[in-house]
Amino acid sequence: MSKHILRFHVNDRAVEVAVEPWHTLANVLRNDLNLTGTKIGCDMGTCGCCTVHVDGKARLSCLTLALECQGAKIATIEGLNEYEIHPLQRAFAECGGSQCGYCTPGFIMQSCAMLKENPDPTRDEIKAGLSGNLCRCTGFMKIYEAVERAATEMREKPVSAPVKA
Amino acid sequence: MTMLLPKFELHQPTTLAEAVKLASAHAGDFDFLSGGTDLLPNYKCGLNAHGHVISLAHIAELKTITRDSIGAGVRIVDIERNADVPRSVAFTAGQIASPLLRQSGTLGGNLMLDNRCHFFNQSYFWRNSLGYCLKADGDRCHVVPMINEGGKSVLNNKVCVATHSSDLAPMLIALGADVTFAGPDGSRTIKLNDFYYGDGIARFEHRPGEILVKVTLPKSAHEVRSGYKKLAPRQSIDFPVAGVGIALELDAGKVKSLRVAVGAVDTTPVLFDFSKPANVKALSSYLLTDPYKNMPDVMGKQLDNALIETISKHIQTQCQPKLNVPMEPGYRKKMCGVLTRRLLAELRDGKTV
Ligand SMILES: Cc1cc2nc3c(=O)[nH]c(=O)nc-3n(C[C@H](O)[C@H](O)[C@H](O)COP(=O)(O)OP(=O)(O)OC[C@H]3O[C@@H](n4cnc5c(N)ncnc54)[C@H](O)[C@@H]3O)c2cc1C
Ligand code: SF4
Ligand code: FES
Ligand code: FES
Repeated sequence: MSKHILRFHVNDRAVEVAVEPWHTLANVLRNDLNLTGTKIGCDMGTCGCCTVHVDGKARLSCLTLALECQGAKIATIEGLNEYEIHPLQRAFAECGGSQCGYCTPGFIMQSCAMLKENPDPTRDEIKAGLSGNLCRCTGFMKIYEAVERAATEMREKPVSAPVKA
Repeated sequence: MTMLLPKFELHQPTTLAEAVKLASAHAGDFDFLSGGTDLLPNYKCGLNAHGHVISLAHIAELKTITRDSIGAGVRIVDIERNADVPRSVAFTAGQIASPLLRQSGTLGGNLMLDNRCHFFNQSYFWRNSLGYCLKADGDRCHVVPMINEGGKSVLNNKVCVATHSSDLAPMLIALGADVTFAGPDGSRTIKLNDFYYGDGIARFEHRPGEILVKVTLPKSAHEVRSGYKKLAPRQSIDFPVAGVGIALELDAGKVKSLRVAVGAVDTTPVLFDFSKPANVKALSSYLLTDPYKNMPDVMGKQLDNALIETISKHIQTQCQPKLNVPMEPGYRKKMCGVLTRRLLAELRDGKTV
């Protein structure tokens, strides 16, 4: 049992890192790449804190083996928008959708994936879409309001693509 | 809190043949990995982990989905959003876990899901404090501590009653689905219902090294009235604690065929086939639920409220949920009847999901 080289793209940068076969994507992002924006809550698939994008789809990084992402394109909260605050981030801050903030990166990554597929969701669609993410502080209503506000803003003024380094 | 995975070697074959070969090479010391949403949490708890993990995620042969057949590697979200599979199957897929887990989880993993129990799905530390159980590391069962052997009450070191917790299995069984496996001795196809067999440890008639390739639906799956109802503590994330899948055919309001499959009440899903109670497979002796005991004759009868009541009473009486997953067994037992009654009425009145 030895380390293997994992070559993939994280937030639009090519990355090469030696990882153990039993390390999850969350472990590698946080420990090897110092991208600690991605949080580990339960590490068992029940809370959604660890949500990142793998090839454009929202995935739980705690239940994804790092080596299963060979060649994949990963986006984390750090890469959402590098030089400018993303409308989702601003809406979460302004609506009080974030208190302790531990769940926020997961909520924002899942909301972002959801809005890409459905730019104009109803309140019920937002609730269903975010039903795999848990927040123990806000009581969810402010989160739903934040997503609605960001969705309106993003429909009016599409977000510029993150700048490649 | 980070939960460390135990150490293993990861294999990533790209063809079915290669995967079968790898499985033979590491016989007895490997697990297949598909989406990982069931295997990895179990590994993190130190539950029956092995030295080799063979990923099935890169095998294109497992990923096709058509009107009549669904590959084992197809993700749950792609079943949920597919417009060609029967609506009841897509609906049931949408009831599984949460949107995030459905993005990773696959059909194969859902049908081969490990059974669940309060005393099993716990961290190594937790289990260590109480003493391990039969299903992992131990020699006794905490849910059924004693069994009757030759009239004497003895310590149960034989039978595990962990609960089968897949949502899709009961729906696909009600529709009469077949499953195809590829293994070292070639491929075989059997009825999904015949595949599930045995106690909470054995769970199915699975030959070592066999890979689930696809599920095939009979033509009738598109023609019958079918649906699924699930009971769980929360509407999202949670495993079912009772689930009822029904396939019904009516002829001028009279029952032509009726199959009810109940999940999450026993060690396997339980099929109540009201159409053919005569030629049923011998039931697993571990199964406490006996669908064919005092089964009412409903064929050719008008499906009125009274008949629906008779059918749901029978199901409620026969289902024997155990105290090893959330919610009271007595409540879950009652809900098996309630879900059946509601679903049958909806299907009769033409309400579709
Ligand atoms: C918090 C949480 C909630 C959940 N809620 C539900 C729920 O409500 N309903 C539900 O049904 N499930 C639920 N699940 C379980 C799981 O997410 C799904 O059942 C999922 O479909 C499993 O698929 P997978 O590909 O991730 O399985 P994996 O973890 O990859 O595999 C599961 C098992 O199947 C075996 N396997 C997988 N594919 C094959 C194959 N092709 N051939 C042979 N063996 C194979 C693996 O070896 C492993 O033992 C939940 C899981 C979590 C963590
Ligand atoms: S039912 Fe099975 S898993 Fe639960 S305690 Fe008994 S042996 Fe262990
Ligand atoms: S940390 Fe991944 S779902 Fe909770
Ligand atoms: S803001 Fe604290 S958990 Fe959501």
